[in-house]
Parts: sequence; structure tokens; C-alpha cells
Amino acid sequence: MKKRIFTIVLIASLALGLSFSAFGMPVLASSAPTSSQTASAPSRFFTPAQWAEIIRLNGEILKNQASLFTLKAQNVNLAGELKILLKDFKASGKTLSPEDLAALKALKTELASTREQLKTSVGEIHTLMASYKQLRKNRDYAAVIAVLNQILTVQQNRIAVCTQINAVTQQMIDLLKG
Amino acid sequence: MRPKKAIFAVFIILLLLLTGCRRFGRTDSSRPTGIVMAPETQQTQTDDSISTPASSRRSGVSAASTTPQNETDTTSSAAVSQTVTSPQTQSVDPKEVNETLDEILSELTGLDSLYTQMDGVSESDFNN
Repeated sequence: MKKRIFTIVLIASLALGLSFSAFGMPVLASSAPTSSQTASAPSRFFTPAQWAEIIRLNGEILKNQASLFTLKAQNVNLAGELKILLKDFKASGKTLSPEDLAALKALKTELASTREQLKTSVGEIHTLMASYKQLRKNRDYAAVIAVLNQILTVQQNRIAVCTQINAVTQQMIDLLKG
Repeated sequence: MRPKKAIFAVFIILLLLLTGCRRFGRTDSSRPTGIVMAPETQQTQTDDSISTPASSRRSGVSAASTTPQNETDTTSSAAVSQTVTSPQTQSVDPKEVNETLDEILSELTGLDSLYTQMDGVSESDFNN
């Protein structure tokens, strides 16, 4: 009788050990995700609201990236056209009226200013993306959302600056074409 | 307790434990692993799709007055005082124009190199 009970207990222990190694130690219900998670106490769980926000932000970021590609391509086109116009103008020996020269100088100053603004954001997204990947790995979802919002802000600033650069370049082209 | 009953009880306990482990265990397998971008957001930039925006006229530049400055030349004679008005053409130093054009070219070159350094995100960044 005792031997049989010992065998049963042994089998039960083995089964328990196997089940824990297969599915992990049971997690207490109190540590399940709640909506009151804060950044100071990151959880490896995400709430449905957090996950929905992450998906929304990812979508916004990719849309902004597509807009930036378009703006950059437009600027490259406009800059190419302007370069040709500038070289032709110099070769022709034409001159500008004082008003046009003053306008061109003002536009040049504006272009330099916007270029500086763009320069300050170089590398920013790269750093933020590295941070995003690390936080995602650590499953700190509140911090992930914060970083994604920062990326979004940088992108929106870049879009504004690139739009301004395009406008200035177009104005220079119009001025030189007369 | 009879052995048959003991065996049955142990199996019931095991079954409950296993169910519990599945219910509250790790959720790694259920965690979403990536984000699939909606097709409409996947844009491919081609040269054909690049369009120059409609011409925007100089709105930010205040053009100086184009009214020519008048020069008054007064000649006097004994009987008649005659006033002659002639437009004066303001001259711009060609060197100054060339310098300005060169500076603009330099700015454009700087922008080109800036664009090559500019980082961004791609869809694959979110599919990890």
C-alpha cells in the first residue's frame, strides 16, 4: 500500500515538474496587466489600448516617411533646375535689377536658415529608433509609445522644413526666369 | 484511502494544475510580433510620380518699389525756368550678383549632402 502511494506521488511530482518546464511557473492573477500601468513600473504585458496606440503611431510614422520621400524628391528636382538656371545666368553675363538681387539675397538667407534647421535633426531618428527597439525588447510599452511620439514630432518638423525649402527654391526659380 | 481513489485524485489535481498553467502562464506565443503595413500606406517613389508643384510666386519676398526715381535737372535762363525729368537706371555690381549666385549654389550643394545623411524609418523597422 505504502509503496503504491509512493509511486503515485513520484509520478505526480514528475508530471508537475514537466508541466512547469513546458508552460512556465504560474503567474499570479494580481500581476496580470491592468490599465493603470505606469512608465515607472514597466510591465511585460501591454494593454489593448497601448497596443492600439502603438499600431496607430507606427502607421502615422510610415505615412510621414512617405511624405518626406516625396518632398525630398521634389526638392532634388527643383534644386537641379535651379542649379542649371544659376549656371546659365552666370554664363550669359546678364545682370539683375537691384530689387531682384535684394529678393534673391533674402531667399538665400532663408534657404541657409532652413538648411540649418534640417541639419540639427540629422541622426535624431536613428537614435530614437535604436531606443524604440531596445524598449520593445524590454517590453516597456509605455516608454515605446513615448519614443514613437518623439519620432513623429521630428518627422513633422522635417516635413515643415522640407516644404519651406521647396517653396524658397521655387521662388528663386521664378525670379531667375523673370 | 484506496489506491484507485488516490490515483484518481492525483490525476484530477494534475489536470487542474495543467489548466492553471495554460491560463496564467507566459504569453510570449500570443504576443504580436510585428506590424503589417496597410497596402495603401506602402508607397513607392518613382521619378514619374515626382511632380513639380504649381508655380508659387514670390509671396514671401517684398519687392521693392519699381517706380523709377526721378532726377530733377533744373536749368535757369534769364527768362524761362525749365525743368527736365529723366529716369535714372540703378546699376548693380555684376561681381555682387555672381557672389550671390555662387552662395546659392553652395547652399544647394550643402542641401544635397544633407539629404544623403538624413535618416528615416522603414517598414522593416517595425517588423521585428
